[in-house]
Amino acid sequence: MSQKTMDDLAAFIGQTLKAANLGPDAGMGRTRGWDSLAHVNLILALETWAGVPVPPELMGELTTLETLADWLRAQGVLTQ
Amino acid sequence: MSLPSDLSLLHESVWHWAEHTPEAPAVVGSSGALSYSALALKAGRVARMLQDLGFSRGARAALLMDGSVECCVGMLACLRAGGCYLPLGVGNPPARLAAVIRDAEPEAVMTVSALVPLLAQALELAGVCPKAVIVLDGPPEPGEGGAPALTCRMLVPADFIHAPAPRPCPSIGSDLAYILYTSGSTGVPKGVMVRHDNARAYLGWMARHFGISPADRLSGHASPTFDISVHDIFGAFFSGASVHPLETPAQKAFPGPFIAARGITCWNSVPSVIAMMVRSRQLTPGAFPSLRLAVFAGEPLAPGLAKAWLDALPHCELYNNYGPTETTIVVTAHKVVQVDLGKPVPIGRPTSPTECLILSPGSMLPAGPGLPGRLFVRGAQVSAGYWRRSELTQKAFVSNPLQPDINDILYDTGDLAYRDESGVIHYVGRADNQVKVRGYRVETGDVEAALASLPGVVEAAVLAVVGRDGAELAACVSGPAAGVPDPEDALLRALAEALPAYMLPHQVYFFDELPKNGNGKTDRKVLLGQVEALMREQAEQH
Repeated sequence: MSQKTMDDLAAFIGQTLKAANLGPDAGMGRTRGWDSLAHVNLILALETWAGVPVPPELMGELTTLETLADWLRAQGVLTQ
Repeated sequence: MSLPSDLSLLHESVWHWAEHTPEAPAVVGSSGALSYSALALKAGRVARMLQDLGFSRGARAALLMDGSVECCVGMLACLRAGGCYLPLGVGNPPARLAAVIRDAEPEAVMTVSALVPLLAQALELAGVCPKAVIVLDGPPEPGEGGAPALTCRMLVPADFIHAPAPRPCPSIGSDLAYILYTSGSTGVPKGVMVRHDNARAYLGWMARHFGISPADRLSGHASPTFDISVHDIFGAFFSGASVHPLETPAQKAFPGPFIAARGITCWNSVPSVIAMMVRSRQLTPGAFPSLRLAVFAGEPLAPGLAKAWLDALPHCELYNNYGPTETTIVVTAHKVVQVDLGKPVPIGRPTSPTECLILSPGSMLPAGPGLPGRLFVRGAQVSAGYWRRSELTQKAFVSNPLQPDINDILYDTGDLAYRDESGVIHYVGRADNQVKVRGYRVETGDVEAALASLPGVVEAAVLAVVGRDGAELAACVSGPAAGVPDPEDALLRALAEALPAYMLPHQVYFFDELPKNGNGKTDRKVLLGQVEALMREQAEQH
């Protein structure tokens, strides 16, 4: 599994949500297009992108760029 | 113990249960619960403060907050003081909130501290200063980034914590209980006026039909701007049960842990939630043993989703309900016991206070079994019409053509439906350009008006298309693409300043010119064909 960077993650989320210029504070409810349904789709797409399954009990907690990045780092997907 | 039949006002059940089961939980939030006695006391204090401010029969108070303990307090306070409440969507941009505030002219606005900056922006744009802004959970933090200061009188809990009991409620059953704003076809939101009598009629049927008891725990998934929130909140209060608002976007997207942790017995939401639960692996066999009833309304229930629900949760009764805001929450209900994957799920039979008429468009006579016609609703749930829109009210609330000699009003739903041989009603579609996006009503003309007001847009048309998650909006525009680096993003950003998130198009297609019919108007049929072809191309590329 090739390691990805924070920029890769931001670009992936931006592309999936069709939101340009994703800021570091991006998250569900505060980024245009990142609503509850888009979040479900994003998590499912992210599982494929990152190659790791997201436990259902965490899906409702990984709702910002920052929390997603932290979790992906812990999984060894994202560089530190 | 059931509610006495002489209680005609929407809020009276809370004071009834406060007297008879004072310690029973009424509303349970993430930061604590209020028993019926505590809820009545708290709402009563706010009501008295409203009365002291001059709030009386017929007055309106806007509520800018999502479903929560505070929201229940605010709704009850307005009603107990003798007025009605009108919810403002917390996801709306300030300009949209300002349009509603200007139209409704509320005497007071209630909110929570985190939303004071948004409210201040909206009030400034509206140029309106209500008698008071009441912040129900405590004073806001000073100096929120860049927001204008609130120039109206602000009251916080310290101002009403010692308020005496409210004076008697002056309302009668035919007074308004709430006004709900929905998308308007000309770009201006319209307020649906619902009376205490209308809501009381529905809640009585609901309590009997679903057997709601004080032991029940009802979910609160819907925003207060959506009338199924009345089913959740006042449906619980009517029967002495408890309501459990889902307070965060994450809880709403992934309700599984919430249902399990709270031991929810009665679920109510739009069907899109089932799709989210299936895809996120929350709807697993045997999940949610506490659930005994699940009611879905607000948009068509896809047969595949109904089957997924029945397969996973056979212990839980499943209902597909239907009802426009104008006829108070729900007017038909269908218990789903088996699903034919090839056929839409029926919307069922009318609630006891209503009658549904399916009339042939030409003759306006009842359509025979199996024949589609326009669906009209009559009875105790038919609301009072649109706030300050008499022309629109007369157009949608019409005299019964079958009984022209008596004053019998029908609501013209604009929906097409048919009745089968057994009397069960089946939804067919819309007779106009209204679209349901995840339960939210969207008039495409509303979005088109916002698009047309953007600089550079020459022509705009908004179409309903079928996307991966159900109905989606596709915007077709001519004009603005030239010279703009990312025209879709620029357009959506500008549109988000004017419209709530659920009204933003999912796709934007740019044309040199939109196709025209013989009359020189946009040919929506041809345009839809072109858009569907572009969508297929996009799908193939992915």
